[in-house]
Amino acid sequence: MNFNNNKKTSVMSETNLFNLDKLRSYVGNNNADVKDMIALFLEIIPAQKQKLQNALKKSDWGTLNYISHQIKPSLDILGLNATKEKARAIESLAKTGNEEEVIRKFVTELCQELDAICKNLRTEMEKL
Amino acid sequence: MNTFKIFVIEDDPFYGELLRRHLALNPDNEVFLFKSGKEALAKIHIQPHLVSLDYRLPDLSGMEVLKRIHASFPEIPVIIVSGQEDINTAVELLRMGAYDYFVKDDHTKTRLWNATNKVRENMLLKNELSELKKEVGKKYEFANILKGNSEEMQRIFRLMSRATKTNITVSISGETGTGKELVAKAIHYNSDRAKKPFVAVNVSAIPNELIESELFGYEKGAFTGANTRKIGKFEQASEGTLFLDEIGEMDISMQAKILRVIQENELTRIGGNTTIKINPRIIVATHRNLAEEVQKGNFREDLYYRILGLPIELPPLRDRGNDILILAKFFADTFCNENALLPKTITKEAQDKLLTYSFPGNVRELRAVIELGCVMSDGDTIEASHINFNSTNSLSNFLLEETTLAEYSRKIIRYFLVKYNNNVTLAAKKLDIGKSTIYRMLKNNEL
Repeated sequence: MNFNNNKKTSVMSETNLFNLDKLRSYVGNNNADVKDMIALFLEIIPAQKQKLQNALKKSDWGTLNYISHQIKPSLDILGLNATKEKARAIESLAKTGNEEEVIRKFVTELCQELDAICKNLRTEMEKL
Repeated sequence: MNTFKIFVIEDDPFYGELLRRHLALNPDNEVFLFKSGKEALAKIHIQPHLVSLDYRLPDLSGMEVLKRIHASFPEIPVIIVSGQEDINTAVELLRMGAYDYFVKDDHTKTRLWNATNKVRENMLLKNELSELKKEVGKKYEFANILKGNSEEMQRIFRLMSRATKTNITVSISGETGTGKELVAKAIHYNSDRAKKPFVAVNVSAIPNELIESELFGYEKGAFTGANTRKIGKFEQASEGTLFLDEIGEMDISMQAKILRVIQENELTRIGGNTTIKINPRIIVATHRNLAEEVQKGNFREDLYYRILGLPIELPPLRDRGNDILILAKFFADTFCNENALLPKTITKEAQDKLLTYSFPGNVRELRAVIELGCVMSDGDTIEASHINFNSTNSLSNFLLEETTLAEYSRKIIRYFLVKYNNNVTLAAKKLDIGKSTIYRMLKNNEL
């Protein structure tokens, strides 16, 4: 991926497709802003992932509901639609906590996906 | 323009920062980012022009933040930007006064940008309106609207000042051109009602068959041609001031109707069934002596007493002595300024000419005379020769000079000689006098 031109920029990993077009459109196609925002994403998401894992250990459905709700827009901005939909599913299931096994499975998968996304983004950042 | 301050209240640091940077693309925007409702509320005294509020926050709900913002500053527009897609929540928030409700999706960026521009444009229009209202207010300050130092005018200023302090009905009388509408406007713009409409109706200018619909309005279908509802002048002026000029010309049957409206403070539009409460301040004016009109049976006595309120009788210009010169200078300065002319002074001879004239058209006529004088003068002075009176009531002016019969005779003969190109025979024939009379007067330099 090239951060220094205006061409459509996307990367396919095994689980995620991220696309920087929307992010670019928000910041007026300014490369410095794009880099800053990716750096911010990489700073925030690992912490959010940790909160999800801690909440899962404690079966804290309220926190799971809140964090999964909170990260959806960020995922959407980077075009991570599949991951966003997983977060949406967790948000919905965690409202009641009724399907615990499904929640656990989804949260584990979400955390793995977030790891993969961050890894991909870091790789791209190193190329800058 | 001044900075347009925007609060972005968003618990997701990434999304919040993104909105902040996006809105800051417009250099006129100053964007403040808050991660919680309480943080934002602690800074609400900054009085942002717009708030973008995430519905779901860690400490307070968006609804609670909206309530608290509007409790202190109800005029601040708050846009809810939410991941919730619950239509009931959106409706409730809009009902509570949210400016708009956006779901976080692909359209959020455009919608927020457009909404921000719209709020900014509204703010600029409001500021402009506020400035214009201030200007209008200044324009109608007593000293700016009515010039003059005469005792008569000082008495008028005192009465006007009293009129501004209450909602008492004011009845203004005076000859044409004395400034009755200006006095009405000055009272309105110096009263508590200044920010509400001033609605003027010249009763004599509206045909009798239309006056009722003009004043009270009508419902759609009330009569042929009533294709839409029309709000009448009384309703337009509710909370403001209704100025009924030349009320003495009102048809007697109409007088009964407006008496009821003024007494009850309510009306029904023509063709309507609903009674509408109104609260206009009433100022009336007339050039007639209403007491005499009551005696003659032309004006209802009950309406007369209802509208009499605080009477203000404007003096004719000829009774205001030196005010004529003050006004003349003011009109000359204003005209020259507005027309990019060099300032002009009025010579002593021109001043004397102004002071001896009767001004049947009062201040309006003086203004026209001075403006014409400015146009006729080439230099920086207005001479006596530039002062021309064109009153339609020339005979009464002529008589008002109160000179001798001999002087009147000379004036008349001079007038006819000028009119007939100094043809003495023709002038004498028209006046039915002997030619020798005119020749003798010419010989003796009497003409």
